[in-house]
Amino acid sequence: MVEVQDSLLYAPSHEWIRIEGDIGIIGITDFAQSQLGDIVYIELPETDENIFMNSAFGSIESVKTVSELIAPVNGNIIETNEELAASPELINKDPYNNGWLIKIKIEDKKQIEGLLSPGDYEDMISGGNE
Amino acid sequence: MEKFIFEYKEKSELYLKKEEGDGKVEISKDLLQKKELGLPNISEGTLVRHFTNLSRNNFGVDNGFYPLGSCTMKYNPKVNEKIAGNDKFLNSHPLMDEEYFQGNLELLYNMGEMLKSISGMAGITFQPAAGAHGEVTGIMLIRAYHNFKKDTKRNKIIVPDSSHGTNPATAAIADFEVVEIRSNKDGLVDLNALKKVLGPDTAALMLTNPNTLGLFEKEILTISKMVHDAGALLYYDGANLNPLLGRVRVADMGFDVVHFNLHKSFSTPHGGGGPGSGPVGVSKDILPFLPVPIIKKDKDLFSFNYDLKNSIGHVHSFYGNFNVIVRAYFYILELGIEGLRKVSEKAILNANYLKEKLKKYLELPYKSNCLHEFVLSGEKLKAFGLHTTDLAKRLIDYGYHPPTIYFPLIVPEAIMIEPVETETKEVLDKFARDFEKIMNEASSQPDLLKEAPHNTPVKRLDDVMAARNPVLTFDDYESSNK
Amino acid sequence: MDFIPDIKDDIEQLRSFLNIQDVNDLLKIDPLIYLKKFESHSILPEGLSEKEVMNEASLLQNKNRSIEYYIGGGIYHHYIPAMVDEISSRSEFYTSYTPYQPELSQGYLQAMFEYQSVISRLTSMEVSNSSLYDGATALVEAVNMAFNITRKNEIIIPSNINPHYLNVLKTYNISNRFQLNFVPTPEGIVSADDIRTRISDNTAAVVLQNPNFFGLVEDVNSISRLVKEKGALLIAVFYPLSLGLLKSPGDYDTDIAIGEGQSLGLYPSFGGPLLGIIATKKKYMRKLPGRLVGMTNDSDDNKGFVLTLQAREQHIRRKMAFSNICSNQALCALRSLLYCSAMGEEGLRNVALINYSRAHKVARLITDKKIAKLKFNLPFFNEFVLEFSSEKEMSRFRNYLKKQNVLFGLPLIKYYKEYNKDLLVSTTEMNDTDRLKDLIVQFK
Repeated sequence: MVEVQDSLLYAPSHEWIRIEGDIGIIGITDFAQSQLGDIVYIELPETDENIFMNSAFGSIESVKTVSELIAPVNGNIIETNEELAASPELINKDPYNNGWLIKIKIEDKKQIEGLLSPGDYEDMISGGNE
Repeated sequence: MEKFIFEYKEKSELYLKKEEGDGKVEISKDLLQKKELGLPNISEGTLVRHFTNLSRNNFGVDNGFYPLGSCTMKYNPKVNEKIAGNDKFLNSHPLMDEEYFQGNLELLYNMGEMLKSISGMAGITFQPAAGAHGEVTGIMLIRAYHNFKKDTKRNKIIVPDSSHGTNPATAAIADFEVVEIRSNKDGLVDLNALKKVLGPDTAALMLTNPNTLGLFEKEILTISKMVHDAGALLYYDGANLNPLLGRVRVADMGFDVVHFNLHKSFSTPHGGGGPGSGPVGVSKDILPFLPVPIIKKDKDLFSFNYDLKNSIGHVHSFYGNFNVIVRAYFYILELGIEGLRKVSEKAILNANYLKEKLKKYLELPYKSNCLHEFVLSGEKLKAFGLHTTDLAKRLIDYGYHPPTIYFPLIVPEAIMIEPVETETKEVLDKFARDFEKIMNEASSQPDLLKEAPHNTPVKRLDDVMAARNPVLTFDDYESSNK
Repeated sequence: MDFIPDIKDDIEQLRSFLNIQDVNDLLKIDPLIYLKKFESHSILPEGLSEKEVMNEASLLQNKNRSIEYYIGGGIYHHYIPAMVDEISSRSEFYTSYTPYQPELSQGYLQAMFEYQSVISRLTSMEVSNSSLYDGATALVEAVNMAFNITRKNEIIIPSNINPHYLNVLKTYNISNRFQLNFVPTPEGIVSADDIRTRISDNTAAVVLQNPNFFGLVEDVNSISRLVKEKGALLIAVFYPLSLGLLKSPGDYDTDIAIGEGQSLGLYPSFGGPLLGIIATKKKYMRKLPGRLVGMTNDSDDNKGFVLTLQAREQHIRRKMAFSNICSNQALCALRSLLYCSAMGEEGLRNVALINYSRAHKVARLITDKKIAKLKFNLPFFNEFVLEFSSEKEMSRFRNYLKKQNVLFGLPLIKYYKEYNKDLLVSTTEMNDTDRLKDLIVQFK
């Protein structure tokens, strides 16, 4: 059973975002990591780069697949999770906490309104999976 | 694992006598090699043992049945090795004056004529060194064609979702936008889906026929008409040409550009992953854009013609993998037209025969008659806690090279089997019996599969560890040991 | 001969099992239409027996005339130890394919790992892939890599890079992905000033070939310093055998080193198959194209080898892949590993020195006798450019030697219109320079 956390918002492309004022922390969901399998590498942008809603901001690799990371909202990157370079398995072990990807300053808070609630996301993955 | 070649401390042989020379090296010191090169120090006897032992840990067509789908692992006749190993071929330099390599030119010219005859195309370039190299050459030719017609808004290339990965990759590196279309329920191109995406921005549709499911695109003439009506071109990925040899010409299906895989259809050895050869054939409309040089015949004299003003240029340092083409050329001479037709017949018979035998054990998602290969799904194995990979690894224990697995992507847990024409019915029967045994083991002793292979030099290897902490050289290995 | 093993009965059994008369019954289109077209157009002859094929082969082979040549231009005739042919002819190697099933391919995988290790050491680069097609396409891949690393598109290229490579790069640039900024090299080597005036914030990489197409040794250190000051990448094109004498690309801070590996144990073979070498720094390894072999553990914790970092490649990344390469030149890479291992440390230094000495000897013979002069009076390795007093004099000398069964040099007019009386001469350990000396003495 995959975990969907209540305190987060979700994108249909399986990213989550935690809103803390103007700041958003972004990662991939437990469902996404379970589908990918053992993560071996993450390609992330540099600090101060901008990301744009529905556009790729990086990629995530397991041994046999690679997926694009899609930005749930527009924003400017203020921090990336540097521990992932040496320990990509953090995403498998703890996707919602230590496995976070990037921290951004959210450009347009209105965009948040279009994201999925935990309940909607759960419906989406259970519907898509069965 | 064999000891590394760097771990020996022996005296190398002297293959060349030292020469005094009559002067010292007059190059500034800071431009000279100062370090140890770090090359092995090993005597010939030990060296030969090292590599002979390595070869014993390797499986080729000469070792056993190798039904690797999409790769056409047929027997590689030894006479072709002997011919290709001749000094007159090996020691000819590509930049000599043409009078010294008339034999090479004649061979390439004749081979071009034969490939044209087999495919119905109007012209051939031999420069591409492999199938993917042929693909990018073909796609650049297509761009040149549209550019020449000032039709520069054609920036999209369509590929089916069952295509080889090289197709979308080729289109993307050639700066086209890739449009993937879904296959229909029969595993073929969905004509409605195709219709939707074809338009004034379509440069080409890339197709493999028979496709990667081993199925013939029976609507190919409709497809080619649709593509041409939209002003686009049709590209043929020649990976699966084997079952059409002597039966169907690529041009008669409406294709404009085709690459051949000489290492597949025409039996040149796969070499552990190369060298292959991926010549490209084109229709009359594309001829002006072919890479230079092209070979000209004037009575009995052959020469290179560089004077093609609309040519895309060159795609290889010289003229392609000549010594691979030599092997394919003599293979075709050995078989002749009747032989080629027997090849395609037997390849189709073998695949259908084995398909009928194996579909009892695993699901065959696309049920129609196949040509040279077929794809099973290992979904059923999940009931035993197993995957396709476990079945593949268990086949190793029975002395086979496993089929291609997890491709094409549209079949879950795919197993893609291409039995090729050079295998006997006896081999196929035994394979089917062993397959049945393994399926019985899957239900009664699943661990036998899960832990397979059992008798190889290594057990299953940890891909995750390899990718997370890449150890790519002996020096990486040594420093990771410290 | 058709290499189809079954007797007629077996084929009949296959047919009757499938309940068909003819294999065409299994084809879904009207194959007869196609078949007819095939037959009406076929020029294919009847099949031949092995003996007949051997005869055909020798007819063609004999149309190639053997001659001793002093020609290089990227392909060099070197001595190859017999064991290289012997081992690379083992069919466990040459009849296998890409090692998708590592448990059945540990032999080849270890060999490719050793190849990567040898190339890495020889070039002083941290990572090498397990081969590309040839030197020219390796340059294309390197330029593409620089573009993917820097996201900039300007490439600075001197015109003394092998013109065969430049031609291929220009072809691949059909959609103008790169802005190719050519630097003339009238003095034979690259001038630092010419690079300085061209390099900009938009420069992805500078390409430098050493020795360059004219055989000249470049001032790699100062060019490299300049490129690095400006924050661009350095792509070095090298001649592997010269590394027995000349500084390795990694030792002048090259970012991507590429070369034609033919000089390491491959026959000239009319220009193919060849071996594209590409090596880089570890930080760029995920942008490196082609197969990579890595070491790992098996389930019993024994060491073994696998294809790794495959998520870079087309079969996984599809349209997101940086390169479309699939099959490579594995057997050629194996040969170069065999060559380097047989020659060893001392052997490779020795052959490089012999090449250097013999080329200089030949240059001196010609210039002392005032048959021609050196076009560029600069240090060279085993190749140099002779300038004759006229095109006619060049042809006269060349034809004289042709009659003595020596093909001397490559006329540069093929590449550069203005170099119409210049000859690019290469000398290797295969050349009989003593005989050449006699012939030159007799030349009038």
